[in-house]
Formats: sequence, structure tokens, C-alpha cells
Amino acid sequence: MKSCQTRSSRDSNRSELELVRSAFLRAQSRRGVTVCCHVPVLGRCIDMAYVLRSSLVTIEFKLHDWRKAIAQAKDHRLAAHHSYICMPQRSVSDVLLTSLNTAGVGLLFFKDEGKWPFSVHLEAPASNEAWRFAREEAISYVLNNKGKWI
Amino acid sequence: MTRPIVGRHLVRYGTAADQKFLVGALRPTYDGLVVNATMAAHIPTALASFISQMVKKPFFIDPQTHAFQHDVENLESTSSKKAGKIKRSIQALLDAYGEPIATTVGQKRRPVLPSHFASAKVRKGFCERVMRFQLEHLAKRFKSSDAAKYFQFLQAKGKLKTAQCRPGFVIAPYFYMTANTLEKWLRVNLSMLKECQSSGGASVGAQVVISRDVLSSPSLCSTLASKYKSARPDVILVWIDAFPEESASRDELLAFASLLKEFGRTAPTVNLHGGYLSVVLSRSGLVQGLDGVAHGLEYGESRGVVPVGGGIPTAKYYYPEMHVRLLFRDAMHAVRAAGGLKSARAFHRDVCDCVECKKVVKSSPEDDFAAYGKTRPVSFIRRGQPVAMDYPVPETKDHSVRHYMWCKKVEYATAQSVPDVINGLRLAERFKKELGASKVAHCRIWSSVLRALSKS
Repeated sequence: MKSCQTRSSRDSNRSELELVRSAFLRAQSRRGVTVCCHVPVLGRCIDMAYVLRSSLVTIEFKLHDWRKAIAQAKDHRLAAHHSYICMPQRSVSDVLLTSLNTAGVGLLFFKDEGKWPFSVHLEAPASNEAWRFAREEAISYVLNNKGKWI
Repeated sequence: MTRPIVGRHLVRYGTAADQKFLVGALRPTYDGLVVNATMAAHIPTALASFISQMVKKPFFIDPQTHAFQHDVENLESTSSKKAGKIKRSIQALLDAYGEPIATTVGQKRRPVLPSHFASAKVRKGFCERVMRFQLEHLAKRFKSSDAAKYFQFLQAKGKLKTAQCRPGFVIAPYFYMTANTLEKWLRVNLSMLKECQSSGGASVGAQVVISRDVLSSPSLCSTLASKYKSARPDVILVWIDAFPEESASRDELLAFASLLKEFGRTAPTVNLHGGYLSVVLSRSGLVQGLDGVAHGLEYGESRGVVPVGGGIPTAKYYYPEMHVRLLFRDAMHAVRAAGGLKSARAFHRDVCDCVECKKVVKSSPEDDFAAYGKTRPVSFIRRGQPVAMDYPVPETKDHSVRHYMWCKKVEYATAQSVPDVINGLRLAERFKKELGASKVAHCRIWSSVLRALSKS
């Protein structure tokens, strides 16, 4: 599956941190979502995580290096119900899709417009690697640090 | 003459916080201690008391003279209050070792060069002071302490047995050698060794500290082997800069084993920073003369010559089957893959049944194993980026180090045949599916090295 759109010049000038910040500010306003940034889980630092109806969703942002993002997001599966990587809108190669499917990680595209900052390109499957302890710790961190940027 | 190395399992005493892992139930897990001169200079009385009253095992002091050949920045305090000042323990060494480092490093703030040791008189004085520090500093400071009087009183009453606070041998001053600098520093190192040997009174060890690139040069390795053979030290202590056995290549490991073999023919040899492979080489007799392998407690089995500033502590678990420390999340993947989360019994059968794991994993591994990975989150800004890290809580470190020491005891004490070791490593390769090929690659490489050495 290939996306017809490519990354805009605006995206290439933007830093990863700006992407996370923008997504964070808009995601906070959604009802029922408890969102938090820079969530520590088993030695990894998750860019953004939110709890929706008791489910933990984790998101790793990357502008370019999707392989690194997938490796990190794969580790998030120890805690998350669903783990995603998020990139600016881009073409999706077969290699990227295969890697996402193999790792059990979903793909979000960052949206500049609208209240919700993501569009789902590939749905993340429910994690079958979750470890109760890590999940409870991560959810508790998100709930206790609601709306926290750092 | 008695052999200077009396046991294969040597542990490096790093900081005062390590003490609790070297006494009590863990005391029988190792044979002797390697003490850093900086610690001996920093807390001599406490250290002397600890060694002579509690550890009561052979030890030797690494004089760490190489510290003075690197950029002086490495010797400065990093605390905000004392930034730019030379660390107290290093200053104590500068005072004890004297010239030429006292002036060059202490006052001019420049690293020492081979030319600073060109004069025989300078070398003689320096060697005498470095040897004296190793032989007398701890004992002297201890004798003059209040604690000593109390211990003497107990000893007189027959209520306390104490050990001598004198190292088993002294190490001649030494400097780090890379492929580019070997020629000049080797000359200095050998002349220092000769000087110490001529002074008599103690067995003298030669510490050979080299960079990894030396291993890739057969001619340099051969030079080292032949020069130290002629020098006839009582013991040879080897340290390859930042050389974790688990990430070394087959060629590097074969060159390393070959160098150890050569050294082993000259004198009892110790790998000062070694892991499981070194233990197997020593125990199996594949490297004759490799009489000891040392490791630290926290950062363990390899060390860079220049400290990298401590680094960020991470929760790690020594995975016995793979013989390496794994990040806790990787350990979790491995434990799950091994079936160790099914029950405590399964965990002890398939992952680890050491004393600590039996204490920690009692009923539900899913919950209990978390004790090896409990952390506290800390947020901070690094290079303008917000970062949140997990820092292990003290209990996590405690469990992990104890587990590590019990695992090491088994590795050092169990006489496994080389084919059995190779089989074990082959089995451990199955974790590549969960951890990725790079994290288990050492199993294949070590097997290959052991096979090659068995044939040679």
C-alpha cells in the first residue's frame, strides 16, 4: 500500500519536538483522553502516551528514521495496549509496512489541521507482549501526570 | 615461591557502596580483591579495616599511574562546587607518587609524556614511591587509627582474627599503550618494571594496558609477548581498553586469547576486566597460565581507560544462559521466551535458581521479577530536549548485584567441558528472535573462538 502524498517542505523544516508539542496540545483537549509526554517505561522514554477507556496507547515520533522508531515502539509493547509510530505524511514503502506488521506496531500520520492530531494509516494490533507490572506503572504515570509536558 | 594469584575469581572494589556485596553470604563467592589506588588514597583507614577485618582475602592495588597520561580534565571534579579542581583522591595520589607527575599534572595541568621518565633518577624515585604506596599506605594509616587500637584489644582477648593489610604483590608503574604510542610507552613501562624488580622485597607485577587496535597487529602483540617474556615479571595483568567480550569480533578474541597464552607462558596472568569467555578460557585450560579473571560489580566486565563520567545507571539483569547483562526490558523478553513467567518453579528451572532469585521470585514471576527492574522516573532537559529516564531504585541495584555475584560464583566454580559450553551457547542463540541477532551474536562468536582454540 502506498500513500499518494509526500512530506511537505514545512514538515522537513520542523523539529521532532515541535511535532510532539503540537500533537500534545491538541490531544489534551479531547474528552476522555488523558495524555502525557515523555513517559518512562523500562528504560525507554515514550514521546507521548494517552489513556483512553483504560487502554494505554503509546506514540513514538520520528521525522525520518522509521527503523529506530519501530525498534523503540516495539519495546513500548511491554506496557502499551497499542503502540504506534507517528511521522509526517509520507509515502509508505512495502519494507516499512512489513516492518510495522512484524513488530506489531501501528502507523499514525501527523495532521496539521483539526482537533485530533493523528490520522491512522495502519491500526496497531493489541499487544500480546504486555507485562502487567510495566503496564500498571505506565498507566499510573500517565494518570498522575495528566497534561504534563516535562 | 608462592604464586601471587591465589584464586581465579577476582572482584574489583569500586566504591564504598560495594562493600555490602563483598561480605556476609557473598563473601565465599570470590577469591580476592583488586583495589583501585584512588580508593586506597581516598578512604585508607576504612578500606584497610574492611579488608583486614571483614574480607580477609588476598588483594592487590592497581596503582592507576596511567591516569596521569590522559587529558587532565579527566582528573577534575565534576561537581559544581569543585569544578575544575583535581579530585581529592587523585590529589592524594599525586602527593604520594610525587615527581614527575606532581609538577606536570598537579601544577602545570598537563599530562605526563614518556620523556618525563627519561632520567633513571626520576624513574627510580617514582617507582619507589608507587611501590611504597601499595605496600604501606593502607597498613600505615590503619595502624594509626582508633579502630586499630580497638581491634588490637579484641585480638589480644582472642576475640578477633585479623588478616594482614599488605597486598600479595605490587604492580610497577605503567602507562596505556595504543598502536601509535606503544613503542615509546613500552620502553617506559619496561624500565619501570625493571626498576621495581631491582628494589626487591615484594613480588612485582606488570600491568599491560593496551587499546583494541593493538590486538589487530600481530607484530605489536608479538613485541609485547617477547619483551615481557624477557622482563620476567612475577605476574602479568592485562587490560584491553573498552573491550566487552560480548561485542568483540572473532578475530579480536582470537588475538586476545593468543596474547594471553603468550603471557601465560611467561607468568601467571590475570585479565583485569573479563567476562564469561575469559573464565572459560581459564577454567578449561585453553589458555594455560590465565590464573585469574577480574570483574567489577556494577559496570562489570569491561572498562574504558578514560572514565566516561559515570554514565546513567540503568536496570540490568545478568541472564545466566547468555552470560551477559541485559537491559531489564530485554531480560523480560528473554524470561518470557524461556517460559520463566509461568511459575516460580519454571523460573528457577529455566532462567535462574541462584540464592537471590529464589528469594525474589517466590510465587508469581510476573510480579516478583519486577524487583530487578523497579525504577523511579526522573525528567530533565538534555541538549534542549525534554527527557524522562528511569533510574533504578537502590533495591533494584541490590538485587541485581547480588544475583550477578551468585551467577559469577557458579561460572567460576563449575568445571564445564568446552563442548558443553559450546552447546550451552548454541542453545542461548534461540533468543535472537526476541532480542535481535546483535544481542546474542556473542554466543556464536564465542563458540567459534572456543572451537578454534580447541583445535589449535
